[in-house]
Amino acid sequence: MAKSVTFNLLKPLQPPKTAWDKIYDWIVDKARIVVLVTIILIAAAFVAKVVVDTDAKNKNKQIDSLTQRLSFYTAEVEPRLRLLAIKTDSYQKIWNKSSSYSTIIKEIYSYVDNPGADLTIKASDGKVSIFGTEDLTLLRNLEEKLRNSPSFTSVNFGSLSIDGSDVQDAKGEYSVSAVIKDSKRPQI
Amino acid sequence: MAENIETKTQARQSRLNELLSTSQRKTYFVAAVTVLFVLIMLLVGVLPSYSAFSAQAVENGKRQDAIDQLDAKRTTIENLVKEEETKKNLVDEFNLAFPTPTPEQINVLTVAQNTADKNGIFLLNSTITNIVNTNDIIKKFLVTPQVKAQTVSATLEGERESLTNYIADLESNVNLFDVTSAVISRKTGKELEISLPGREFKLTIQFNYFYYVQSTQ
Repeated sequence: MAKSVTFNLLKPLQPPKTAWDKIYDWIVDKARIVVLVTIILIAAAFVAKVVVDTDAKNKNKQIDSLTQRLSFYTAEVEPRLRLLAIKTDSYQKIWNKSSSYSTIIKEIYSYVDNPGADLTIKASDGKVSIFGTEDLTLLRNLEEKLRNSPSFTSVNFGSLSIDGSDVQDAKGEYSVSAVIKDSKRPQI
Repeated sequence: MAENIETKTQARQSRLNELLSTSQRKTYFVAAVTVLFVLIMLLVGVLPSYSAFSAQAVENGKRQDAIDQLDAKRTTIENLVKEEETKKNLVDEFNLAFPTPTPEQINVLTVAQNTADKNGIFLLNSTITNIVNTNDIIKKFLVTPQVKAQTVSATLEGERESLTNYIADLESNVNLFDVTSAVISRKTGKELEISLPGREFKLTIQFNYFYYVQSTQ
């Protein structure tokens, strides 16, 4: 039996593959999924980068616009408003720590029945001084009321002097001092 | 030299052949190369791309924070401006009561006179005497050195109750009047004899009024 020998010239014999050829084959065959996933990830990252860059550009424009707007306020309006705020704060502090003597003076007068009494009331530095020449009964009454009043502490009779004519009229020259417990106004 | 290189190449080839000598070794070798390849792809391709947009995203976050703060400030200022416009009368009244940068002396004396008229008492005289020491103001009120004060001294005559009401009106006046001294006394002797009805009592009062200067001189 004759053995037939055929030559296929369309399929020439390939030279033996080099190491690089093998690597190339491996990459395009077995590792193509890895390459494809990497390319997809890089493409997605590129799209995301475009998006964030556009976003950054828009934000920069927004910041410029706001800064420009605020620079007008900073120069014109803000100093005025800050001054108003500081003044309001100072106003409140001054008001709350300012003295109030009218209620104290009214209270002292409420202890004196005689509207024509020779009485001088001086209120200052958180203290009140009362002096004059008056009926001794009135003085006793005044002293007692002042000592029992919750508005005062340290009620002291500074002096009481009675001369000859005063003895007959039961009158005396006196001075009383007391410390006002709270001489501040109602707070705001 | 050429022999040396050939020897090295042969050694590498024989080692590679050894690595791929069995099916199990071949599998391990391919798996290792695959892992190495994935790592190289991650390091060379994916991570730089990811870090490029993630860093930008972080920067954008900071920009957004800045925008939020600027916008909040803008909104606050615009609201305050609106409030200032709607309460213009109140603001003007406040600025008259607590003036800047110079004291409103005429306003203070006018208030003192008008308050006396309101209570039916007689203002004999009123003078602005001196500028209060700034340290005293700071000590008493715990305010900034920009707050200044002047002292007003006034003498008035009238009924006892009206004079007391005058003090109360000053103390509750929108202008900041801090009464430092008030002396009410009944006239005596000749002074009482020549006194007109309804003017038997005398009030000597001192009070500070305040203003605000923007510099600290």
